[in-house]
Amino acid sequence: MDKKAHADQRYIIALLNNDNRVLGELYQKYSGKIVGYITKNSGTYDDAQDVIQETLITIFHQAKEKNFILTCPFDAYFYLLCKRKWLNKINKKSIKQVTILEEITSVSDEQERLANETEIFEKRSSLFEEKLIELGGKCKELLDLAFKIKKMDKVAEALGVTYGYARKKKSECIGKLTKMVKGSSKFNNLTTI
Amino acid sequence: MKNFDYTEIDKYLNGELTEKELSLFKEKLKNDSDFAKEVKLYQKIESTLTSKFSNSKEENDLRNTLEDLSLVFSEKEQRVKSEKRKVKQESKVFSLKRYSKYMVAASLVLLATILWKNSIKPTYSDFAIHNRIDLVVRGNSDKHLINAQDAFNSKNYTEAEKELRTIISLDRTKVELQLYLGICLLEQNEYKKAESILEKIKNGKSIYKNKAIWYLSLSKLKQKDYTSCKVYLKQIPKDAEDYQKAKKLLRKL
Repeated sequence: MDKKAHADQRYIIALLNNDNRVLGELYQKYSGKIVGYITKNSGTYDDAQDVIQETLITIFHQAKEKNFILTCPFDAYFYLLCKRKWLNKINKKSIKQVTILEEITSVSDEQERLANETEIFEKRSSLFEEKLIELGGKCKELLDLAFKIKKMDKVAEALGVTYGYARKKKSECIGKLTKMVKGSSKFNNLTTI
Repeated sequence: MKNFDYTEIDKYLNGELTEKELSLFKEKLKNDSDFAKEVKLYQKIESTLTSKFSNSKEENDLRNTLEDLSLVFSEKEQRVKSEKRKVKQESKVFSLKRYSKYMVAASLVLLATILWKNSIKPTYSDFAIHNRIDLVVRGNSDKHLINAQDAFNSKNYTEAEKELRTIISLDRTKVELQLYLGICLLEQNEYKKAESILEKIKNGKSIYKNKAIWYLSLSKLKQKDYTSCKVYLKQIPKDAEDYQKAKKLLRKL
């Protein structure tokens, strides 16, 4: 795919490089609008800051895992993500009688597509993590190490087992994890795997 | 559900299958869609979690930056608000008498606002999440250490305090144990005793110094002394484990 990156790709790069200056600019430009939306919809300033932070961390992880190309302006994409995250949160807390104030913003197909992609990425990652915790025990211990330090010879050394055993166990444990993930009701909504 | 050979899948993804095995594997991928899906999911889980776990330090650094930024912007916001308020007050100062009736109403509203604001202050329990402690080194089976560890991890702080005191009375050099004793006292609302222990650790040179500052701030938070809480929070350096939590709490206060 030879998609062209939008000039706002620099915000993605800033997230990857922890670039204080450009991220400051991002807050300056975009956080006000999100704070405005959330505080108008039964949230506090603080809720808004949490939503902004969590959304940026998700984008960071998505960009870390695979080459992430921002094909549209950051503004609408980011706003859409924060908005959905907030709506999910208040739905969970089931705050009754929330009037959602909708302003008319035109969202292009591309922005929608990209936001969906990020949202699915986030849900999928958290499902994987959730199931890893559920898995528990020796398997979790081994996978924690395997994912963190990657090199299986080092993992074997840390656990005091042979390389062959560590490799075999790792694949079996991920196998268990795939079963648990597939068995989850949340999995069906994340079809694009 | 079907059973798959995960060792084989793992070898395939690492490019370790022999030529013969590989062609068989590819054949299976083509003809068995469940198998193909399984391989894809296996790969996705591995790549997602590897990326997430191996970047946890970077994530942490980024969180610190973002926490700083939201603090900067929230301070700006508050300044703008209080300036607006000032302007309003000044313009109304001449006509106060006529509005005395409304003033009563207004002060009731103000009181309600203050109460409401206080009610959404962060609480000790939001932030006091203690890591499990791990005192028992392999091969060492000191009964008191085991008891202290189990009691602490199961949140039985009275019992943990008792055991810790026994161990400390024999060996006063372990700062780690002092820290846990401080936490036990804090959990039992023995603020004075807890703070005196934590202050000592704070002024010492151990690696538990920053932890002690964090717990001192939590002690103040628990006592709803928000001003002192903030003073401690501001002393937690950037490289401390609890820096992010400190920033977050600071923002919420």
